[in-house]
Amino acid sequence: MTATEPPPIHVECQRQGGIAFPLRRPGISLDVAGLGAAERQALRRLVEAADLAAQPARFPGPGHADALETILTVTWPGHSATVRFRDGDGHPAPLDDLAGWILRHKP
Amino acid sequence: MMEHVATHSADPAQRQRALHNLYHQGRIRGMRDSMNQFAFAGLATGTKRRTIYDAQHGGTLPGTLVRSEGQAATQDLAVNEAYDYAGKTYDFYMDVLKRNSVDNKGMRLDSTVHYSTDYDNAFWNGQQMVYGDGDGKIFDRFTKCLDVIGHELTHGVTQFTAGLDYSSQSGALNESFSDVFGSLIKQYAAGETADKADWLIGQGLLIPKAGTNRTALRSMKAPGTAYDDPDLGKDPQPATMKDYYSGSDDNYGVHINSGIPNHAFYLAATAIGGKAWEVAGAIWYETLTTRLQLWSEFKDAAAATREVAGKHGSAATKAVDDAWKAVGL
Repeated sequence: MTATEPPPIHVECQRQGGIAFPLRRPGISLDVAGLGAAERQALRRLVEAADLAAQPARFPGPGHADALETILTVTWPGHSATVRFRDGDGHPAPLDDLAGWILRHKP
Repeated sequence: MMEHVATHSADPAQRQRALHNLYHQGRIRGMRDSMNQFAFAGLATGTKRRTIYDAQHGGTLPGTLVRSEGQAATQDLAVNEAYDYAGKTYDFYMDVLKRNSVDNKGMRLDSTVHYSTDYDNAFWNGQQMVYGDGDGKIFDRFTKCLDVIGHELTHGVTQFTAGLDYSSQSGALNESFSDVFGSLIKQYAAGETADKADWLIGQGLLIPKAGTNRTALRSMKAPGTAYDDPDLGKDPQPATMKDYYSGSDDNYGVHINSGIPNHAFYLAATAIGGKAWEVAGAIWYETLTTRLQLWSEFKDAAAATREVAGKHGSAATKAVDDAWKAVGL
């Protein structure tokens, strides 16, 4: 890999649950390599702010009736981190920001 | 507890998370406290009070205040739907069941629209309603359906009454009562009798696609038939205990097994006939507000509605008994 190549990071976002629970919702996955320079930069900032490696695998809060669950995965070379969180379980806002960004970039 | 974690945890990341959560919780509480102090001074208890906020596609609640009680409609369809349908829900509970808002103490009905991005959901967060805009491909905006708004606000009624725990059978009952009253609110607004109602929840919320069935989220008349689509899957709701879901998904099936008590209500209401909110709705409401509690199960709801139905005559008693027997309870 040369210095100009983007890092081989892969991000995934899957949402499930909510008032329409059993209904299947498509997951979104993106390779950083497929993004333009400005978007790579934006995603990098969001991934750093979300700090998945420092989050619990699943937030233990009770959530709310009809809460939507989001499953975020970021994969770097050699390792990956996945976090599950729901509306109202006390998760930090940068996780929502990252999920929203990925969902806005669905193919 | 959160304060303890924020100050005593050995893990710096955990301390940081706790501090972050305390900050956000405090901000929401502070905003609500200050709004409560001045926003509706002079309005008597029992007055319909609605406020609509705009999250502007962010995740911060409640967002920017865009419409208060008595103000004219805006140019924003979601704002106006959230306002109008919260009003129809309030009117149903007050006019039909003599209940003064979700807490029976005139609680203000706060709603936030345009929550997050591509947010395919609506939920009650214990204090207010939150609506997403949908993704425009599978889901339309979540303010679109009166029964969905009635469903969510009924979670508030349950919170202040039976408190049904949101897991397993008590959770499925929680979901079912929200569907029952969501449907009744829609029927009441339309002046429909039980035999004319569609008994669908969220009809029109799913964006139609040629060659697929995207009728609604749920059917109380025929659980398991609301949608069937290669992308979305097939509606898995059972109508009877024979097909009871015993897995752990969905908080142990709260949106799945709710099909069973939903169908019991449909059978009882259509057997009784007339306007479903008048007798069947009254029986279910008295059951929710006076007979059930945190851990109630299907058998408890069946026993309680059978008992309450006795106050409404032999025909209602038989209809309720037959309905539960038909679903296997």
